Amino acid sequence: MKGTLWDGPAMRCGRYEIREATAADRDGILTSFNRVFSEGNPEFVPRPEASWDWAFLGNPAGRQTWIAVADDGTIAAHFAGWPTRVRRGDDTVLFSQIVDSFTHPDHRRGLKHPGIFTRTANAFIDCLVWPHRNAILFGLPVPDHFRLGARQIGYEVVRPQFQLTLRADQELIGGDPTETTVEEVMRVDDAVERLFHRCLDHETAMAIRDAAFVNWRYADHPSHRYHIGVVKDGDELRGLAVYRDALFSDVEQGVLVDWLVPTDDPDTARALLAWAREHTRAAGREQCSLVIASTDPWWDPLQLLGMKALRTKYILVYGNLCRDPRFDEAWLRAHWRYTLGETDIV
Amino acid sequence: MTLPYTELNRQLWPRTTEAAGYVIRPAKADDVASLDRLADEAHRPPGARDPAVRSWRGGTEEPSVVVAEHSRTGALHAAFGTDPVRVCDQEGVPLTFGRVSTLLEHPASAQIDAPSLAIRCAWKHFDTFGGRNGQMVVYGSPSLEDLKLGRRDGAPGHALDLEVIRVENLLRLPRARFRDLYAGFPQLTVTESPPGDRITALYEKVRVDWGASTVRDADWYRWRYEQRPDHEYRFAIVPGDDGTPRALTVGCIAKPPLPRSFLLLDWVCEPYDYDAGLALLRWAIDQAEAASCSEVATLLPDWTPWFTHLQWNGLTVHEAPWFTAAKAFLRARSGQWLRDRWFYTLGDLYLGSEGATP
Repeated sequence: MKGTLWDGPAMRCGRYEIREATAADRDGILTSFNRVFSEGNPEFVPRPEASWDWAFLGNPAGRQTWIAVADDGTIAAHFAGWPTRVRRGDDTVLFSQIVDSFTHPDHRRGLKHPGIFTRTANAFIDCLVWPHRNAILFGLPVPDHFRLGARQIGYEVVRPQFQLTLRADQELIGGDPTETTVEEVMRVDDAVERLFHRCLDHETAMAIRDAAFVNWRYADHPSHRYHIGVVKDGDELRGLAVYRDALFSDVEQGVLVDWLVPTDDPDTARALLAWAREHTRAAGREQCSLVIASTDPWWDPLQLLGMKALRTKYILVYGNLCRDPRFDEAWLRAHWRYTLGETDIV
Repeated sequence: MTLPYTELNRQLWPRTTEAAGYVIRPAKADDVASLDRLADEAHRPPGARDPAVRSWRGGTEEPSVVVAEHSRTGALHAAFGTDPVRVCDQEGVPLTFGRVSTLLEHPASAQIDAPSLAIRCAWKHFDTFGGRNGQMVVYGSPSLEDLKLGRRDGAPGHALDLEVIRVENLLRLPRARFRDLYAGFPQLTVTESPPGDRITALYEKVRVDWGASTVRDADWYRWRYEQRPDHEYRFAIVPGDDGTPRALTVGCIAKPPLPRSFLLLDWVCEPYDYDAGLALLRWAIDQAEAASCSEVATLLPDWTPWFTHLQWNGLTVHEAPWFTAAKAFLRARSGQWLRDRWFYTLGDLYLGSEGATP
């Protein structure tokens, strides 16, 4: 599945060419990206080439990047998705998070009704939003971006997103585990896919955790340091969690970016949670948080271990633009299991 | 190739408050019987048409309803209406919100080209009753089916510009954990009589932390809880040293199809008056045990300190199968503002036409 999902022609709109980006467009995209996102942000750090290569060329689910190129070669608009392979029952589909959308400031008046950004977004959607390409688009926009997405892309609210939070000074209800130990690994092998299948419920949609995804997402990340904690049973994995010390929802905190534990193994959950809390203490942070759906089977058990549900500034939204009836609003709310691992936020 | 998204984008509905063969107009007092008939024909459950409930529901304010009347037969084929709600912001400025109470569409009107008659009624309602000098926020807890009425297939946004404010979450304390927690809660005097005029002093104190809230005065409590004909409510008040209310809650036993819970429909307590709040929780546990309820449950906005305090005192958060949606007419009172600042509890939400939601 890796690589381009679109083999159609470029489109011409006045002095712009709208088409899928290739690896050769990287430098132009980054030049525009760094110009756009540095505006009014003195702390902005230009995005390194390795970061773009990792995000858009390395993703095992493929590349979804559309651009409008002006006659002088400037990348005038950019609309991209971060696809994730998702398992629902026996099917594998793509859910794509919309990321890094922008219009170059010199081209915001380049075309009218619709503007160059909307045309680029529409080209992306027309070509990539099909049941066999992206079943849904989704995002975790902050409030400022939420209304824009709702109006222009048709985002619907899945839910204002909570985090489950454990304070660093908090003991787990029922005590810390004594016999289950967590081991940290640099990379994972195929055992993670077998663990994923043990966690998968036929009635849910879950991003596929296999070695390709986990190693790309965490071990190969060019700038962030993730800790991959596993509980082992011989060569098999009983559970996996990924920790990062990060800024999330305006709070410097420990973040459990990923969480993959069968629901019938509370000891493993307890051990991984205690492990994350120890990292949080070591980092000098006050709390450690995990983002999952409020309908996730771990939602209740983790509260009973002492985690509290706190609001975040994010709203989980989706656009089912191809009207795939398998993924309507009620179904997603009840059955979509996710973590921050499927997003670019942490 | 087909371009599904851009094609569908061209099919946006024209915003119209007219329909050939219909008169779309504000409802009149003598439309009541026709509205009942419409509700029957729209297959709505009968609870909403209990005359006692209907007479109570409008309260002191006239409902704002727009109907679509068939020009030839005079029958009503659609209606959209709200009950005005007195709200005030944190500076004490009075505002009016509208709580959606009526959304009806006759099956015969399905032949009308989109947008539906109900949507056209809603637009007319917004033009007539909404806005800066009218109902600046219209809100409700629609079913997904109701919400779909305003969705244009494949096109972005909602025809009524409704925004989901919150997927509701209940704070719940199951019966099995009542006794573990109970002993740790303070035992203060709790009185069970209606609050009367003295509630205003407490409300004035707490509302400075609430961006907007239903005005909680004696009139509101009397109408909302004492006069409702089909439910029985219990007040609990922790009195302060001078006898004025220090904290208040209102409880009731949920009716089927809801599980037998002891629901706290209101929660008026200063953010850090832990003793008073926990005394109310202790009272609720007593009530729940006496009535053999399986849990104590309540709903509070996730930004309120008590949403967190109650979790530290044993309640856990559970997503409920309903949500609150709103149309905000003013940029300064946007959906995000409501999400961040609007204080509401179960008692503020739609008041249960089916008799199940109290």
